[in-house]
Amino acid sequence: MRTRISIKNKSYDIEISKVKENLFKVKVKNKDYFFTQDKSGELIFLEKRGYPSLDAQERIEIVPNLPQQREIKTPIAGIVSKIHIKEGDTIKAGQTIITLAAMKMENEIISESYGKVKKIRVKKNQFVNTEEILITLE
Amino acid sequence: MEDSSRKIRFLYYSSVSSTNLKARELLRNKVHSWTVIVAQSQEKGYGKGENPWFSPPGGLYFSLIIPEISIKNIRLLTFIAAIAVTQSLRKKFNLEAVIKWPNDVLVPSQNTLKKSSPLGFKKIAGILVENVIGERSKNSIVGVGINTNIEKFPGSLLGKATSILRQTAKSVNDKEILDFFLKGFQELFKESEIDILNEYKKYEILRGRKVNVSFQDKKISGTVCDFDKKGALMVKLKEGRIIRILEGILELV
Repeated sequence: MRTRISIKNKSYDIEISKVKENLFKVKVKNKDYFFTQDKSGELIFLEKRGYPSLDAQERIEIVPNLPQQREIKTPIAGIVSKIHIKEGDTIKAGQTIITLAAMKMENEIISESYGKVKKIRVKKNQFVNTEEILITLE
Repeated sequence: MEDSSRKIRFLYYSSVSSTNLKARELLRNKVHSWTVIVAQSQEKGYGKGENPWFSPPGGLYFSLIIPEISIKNIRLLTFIAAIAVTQSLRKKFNLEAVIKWPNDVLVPSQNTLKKSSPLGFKKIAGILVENVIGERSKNSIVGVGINTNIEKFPGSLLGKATSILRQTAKSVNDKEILDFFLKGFQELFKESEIDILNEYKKYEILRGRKVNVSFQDKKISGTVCDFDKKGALMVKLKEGRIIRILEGILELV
């Protein structure tokens, strides 16, 4: 979500996004501020990251070192109907990786971890069972 | 299944690419459960596998955002929606609506002499449930298209599709049928898995029928004997073996 806020008569263009479960990013100019939420819903500031330059053509999402998975498993059984990523891609938390079809439902499996895709372990039209590994991250 | 605050909010659009896509866009920016996205027409209405769903003005197209439920109950959403649509058509319009596993709602063709559609049924409504699932988060959208006041269908759908208007010769109030559906859906949502499956079986027509099924590059023939408790189709092959099918293309013999 992009918005403009004013603090002490100065306005800032900011962009708020959810990086992953309980990790939010507020982008102000060329700096990212990361927040998490505690049990009462209070936002807690985690850390600040700056980009070397705003003009950098390809920016890789830099996020704090929170626990994350190296293997993305499917919580649901189905037939692989679409693979949304390639080996070597850098994926963000929240990104759709695989669509599984089951009983005419479309189930998009998202990664809640981030990183570079090392290996895609499934093929299109393959049946996968619950808890099978879909992809591994480096 | 599970209970939560059941207040329904409506969002109306004159035209969207598809109500399911609009629902996903809204979900990215946080939206309340039990929000209903209603459109007068869809530019890119789709069903399973991105098959287009004929969506001109005159039909009822909506998507319902479901509160987070456990993974094992997700597959019941298609069933709940199919039952709620079927019951709406039966109770409000006296139509003999039935369900073809898993997500099609049909009514008998008036002219059964023309064998243009399998079994002498025509499709009147369709359901597409889409889930976005991560390790910790689950979002479900139930998309429904009901042919309410559609007068004419294109040639490719003739003999295959019909509308409430064509069946009853009366125009219907979309909001009334939507409210009836939502009430039914929320009531079923509280029911147990076994009650939902039993209700589903009351209206489902595949049991006892011969089918050809294509799945995972295989083609088999057999007779549908039942559903297992996960809702998968159980097909009995000639040699007596029973296989379970979660996903495939069904062709009635």
